[in-house]
Amino acid sequence: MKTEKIANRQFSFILFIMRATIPLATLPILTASNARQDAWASALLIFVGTALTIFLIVGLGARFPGKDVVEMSWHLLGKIPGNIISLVILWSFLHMASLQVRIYAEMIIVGFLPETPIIFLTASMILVAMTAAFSGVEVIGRMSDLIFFLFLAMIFFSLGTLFFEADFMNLQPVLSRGFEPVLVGSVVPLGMGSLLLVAAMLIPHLNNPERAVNSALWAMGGAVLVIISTVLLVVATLGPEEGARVVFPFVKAIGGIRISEFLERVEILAVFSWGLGLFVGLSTFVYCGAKGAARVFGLEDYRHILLPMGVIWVVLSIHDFENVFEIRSLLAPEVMGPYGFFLIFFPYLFLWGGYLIRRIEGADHQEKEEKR
Amino acid sequence: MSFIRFVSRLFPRKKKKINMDKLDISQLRELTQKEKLKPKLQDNLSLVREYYGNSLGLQVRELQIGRVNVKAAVVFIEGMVDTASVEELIKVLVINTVSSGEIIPSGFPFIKYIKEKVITSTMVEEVEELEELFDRVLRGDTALIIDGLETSLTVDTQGWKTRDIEESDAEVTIRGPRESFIESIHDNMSLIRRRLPIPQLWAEKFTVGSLSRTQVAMVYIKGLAGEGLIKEMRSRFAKTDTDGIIDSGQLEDFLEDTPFSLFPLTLRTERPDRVVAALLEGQVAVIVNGTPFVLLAPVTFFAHLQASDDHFEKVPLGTFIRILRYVAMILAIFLPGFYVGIVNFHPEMVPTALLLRIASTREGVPFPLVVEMLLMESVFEILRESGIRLPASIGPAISIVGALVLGDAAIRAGIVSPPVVVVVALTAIASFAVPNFALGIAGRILRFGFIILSSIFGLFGLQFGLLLLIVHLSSLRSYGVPYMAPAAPFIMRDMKDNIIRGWQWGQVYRPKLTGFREPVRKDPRQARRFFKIFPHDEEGQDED
Repeated sequence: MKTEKIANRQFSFILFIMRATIPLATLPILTASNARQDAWASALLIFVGTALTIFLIVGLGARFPGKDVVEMSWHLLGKIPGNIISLVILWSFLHMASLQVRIYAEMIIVGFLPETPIIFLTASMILVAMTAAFSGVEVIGRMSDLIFFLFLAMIFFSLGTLFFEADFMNLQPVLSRGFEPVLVGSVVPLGMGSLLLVAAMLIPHLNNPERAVNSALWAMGGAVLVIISTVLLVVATLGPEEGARVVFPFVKAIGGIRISEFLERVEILAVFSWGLGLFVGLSTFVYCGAKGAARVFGLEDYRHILLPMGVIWVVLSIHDFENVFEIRSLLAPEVMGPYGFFLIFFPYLFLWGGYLIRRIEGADHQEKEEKR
Repeated sequence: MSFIRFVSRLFPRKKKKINMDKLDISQLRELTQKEKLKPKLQDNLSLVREYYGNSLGLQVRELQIGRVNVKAAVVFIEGMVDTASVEELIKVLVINTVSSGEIIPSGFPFIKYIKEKVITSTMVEEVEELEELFDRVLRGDTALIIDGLETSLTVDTQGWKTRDIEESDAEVTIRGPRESFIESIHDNMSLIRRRLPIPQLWAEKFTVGSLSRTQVAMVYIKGLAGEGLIKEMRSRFAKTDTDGIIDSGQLEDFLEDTPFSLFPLTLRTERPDRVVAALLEGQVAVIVNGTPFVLLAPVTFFAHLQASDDHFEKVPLGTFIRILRYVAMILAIFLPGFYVGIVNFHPEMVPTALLLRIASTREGVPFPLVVEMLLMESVFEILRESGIRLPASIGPAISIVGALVLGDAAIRAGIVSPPVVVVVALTAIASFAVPNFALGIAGRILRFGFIILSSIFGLFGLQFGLLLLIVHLSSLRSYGVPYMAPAAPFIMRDMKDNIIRGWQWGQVYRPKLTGFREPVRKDPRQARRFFKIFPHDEEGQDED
């Protein structure tokens, strides 16, 4: 079977959209930390941390351009340990996707459709994501091409409206509480960086896998720009105290805006851009999850397990949390930090270890061959 | 051996009479295919008469050729031939062979003599099988059957009434060529050839339909259209098995990639200029005999939203019109759903004054907004459909019923609210701004889905629907070319003639996915000659 290919540009777009959706969805994790008005400084730290994660994940993937992470782990660690490592990564896809779906559905219910049962929303979102995943990674890539510009336009528009409303005095005093809260504030977003694990599944589909690190870094650079400007504007608009208290600060900030007489409550635009971005992320998660699971269990085609996986996803998205506040407690630094770092570092510690050991051994082999 | 032959000639076997009444069409076709021409003239003529069922129009004119009075017959079908050319043929056969007094050199075959020295028509071919003979005669050729020969000659005498080349009804332009295709494949080919007089304009012949024997031509510029595309097209033609096609629309089904899609994956056009423009970009055109609609493939979503006018008007105008069309397409798909969603679920987004107005007009309306909207949209669709096929004399009646009874009276009776009528009218007009009928229809059908979705989830239903639409559109391919190109996959170079329309001198490159064999179309540097930011600085000294 011919492998589907996506351009590096599309890969960047996917990662950008996935990463840039995070502040829209889970901004409180930045603003609610003790950093308060210095949340933008945490956002700067995120860039450094994410760049390291990229070198960790994508850097290894680019060394095995034809293999996704499951095949790579088989290659480096052997079949059974490889499968265990892969299951950790697959779990992260499953959990991250259900978390994001739930947050979006909660936001819709809180803000717009209070009487709709939540399972309807999560189920229909996952259904749409499954349709995209069913069509294959090429379609997801093309979808990201289309959505990227829509997303960007909507973000620009909503941030542009915030700009005139913002009171930048709210950002003062700078670093008044020292550097520690800033550092702590960046832990959770970095933990959410485990979504970068999808890159490990996407690399074999790239047109130009050798340049994957480059593309991913570009995506992260753009995404961090969006994160920083969002954080700055939202905190400046709402003020540090309210920004920490509200569940969906971004939506709240835009909701207060009125442009002339006839254009008000434009938060639906922000919500739409979030939703569009979320779907790209979601369908990538679904695709990577199904593809990886099919690999681990030795199935020919991942499409056969899409439906059962979708059901698991829906169930997980409902039963993971009682309500929004439980999500917030999961996103606390002392919980999400270790959890996210575990998801990234546990598999990749072994994979890099395996790689380095093989490399040393391989070098020995080569030397022996050369001596002969 | 010769003795046996001699005896068998003495007692000729009774030929088994075939009962035509008992044979079905496929058996009859098979029988015709087996039959070969006989040496005796009378046998051949009775064979022709028998298989043709002596139907109306068959003309058999018997004559004698040359000084030795060779018996022969001319067979043609009245109405399919140009009578003057048949008369000319008979004249040269009967008179010229006698009067020229020429003696056929010995050893020179008689048939060759007739073919090369007597007949003056442009096209003469030798035929040995009955099926081929019928094939040609039924296309307007005249067959010359000569006694004693198992080979007959067919002479091109085609001549039947065709429609004049007129302006297209379906694709009207304000500025640009007015000619449009007609039903005859040869006239259509000539319309294209006149605009592309190069030998590299190739037209491959196919015959589609076991009974209709429809002539189909696949036209492309050799060396510009991708060989893979041509091969794929050929293989799809080879797979086409049907008894007959009447319009290119039926052939479209065989040629398309995704059968379950509302969106047209080949472009139909009546305009030769459009076809030529497509050929120049490396696309392939399919001309079907008997229909003025030519298919173009591979084709993208954005091509369906373009009209020839865009290229003939000035650039800012063309771009403006194009963007207007995109807006119209978006309105036609989303507006009713948006209205339903926003009024039902997000009234806070509507300005208060407008909201109060909408609420006051909805007072006393017995249906929920969704039902009202679906009702009016369906009524409009029915009106549109009945309007198309209506004789011109009854047309005004329908417009009165539509405008007065269904619009005005329905509002007065309090069955629907005026804003709904406004929204329906607006979407109707917007949907007609889409230049391609097939795409317009797709938009109209989608509209119903969006109304239902947004009545369930509000604007989020619209969003889910939009995402499904994006997934579907991104997954479509027309002969391997992604349907949403150049937006998805994003191709910067092709933006100049899709979303906007660039200047002619700036359109240096052919579309990346179809014109890849020779991407550069014209000298890339010439743009500099035409585009100068400060034109007066660079020019030399003035005349003084």
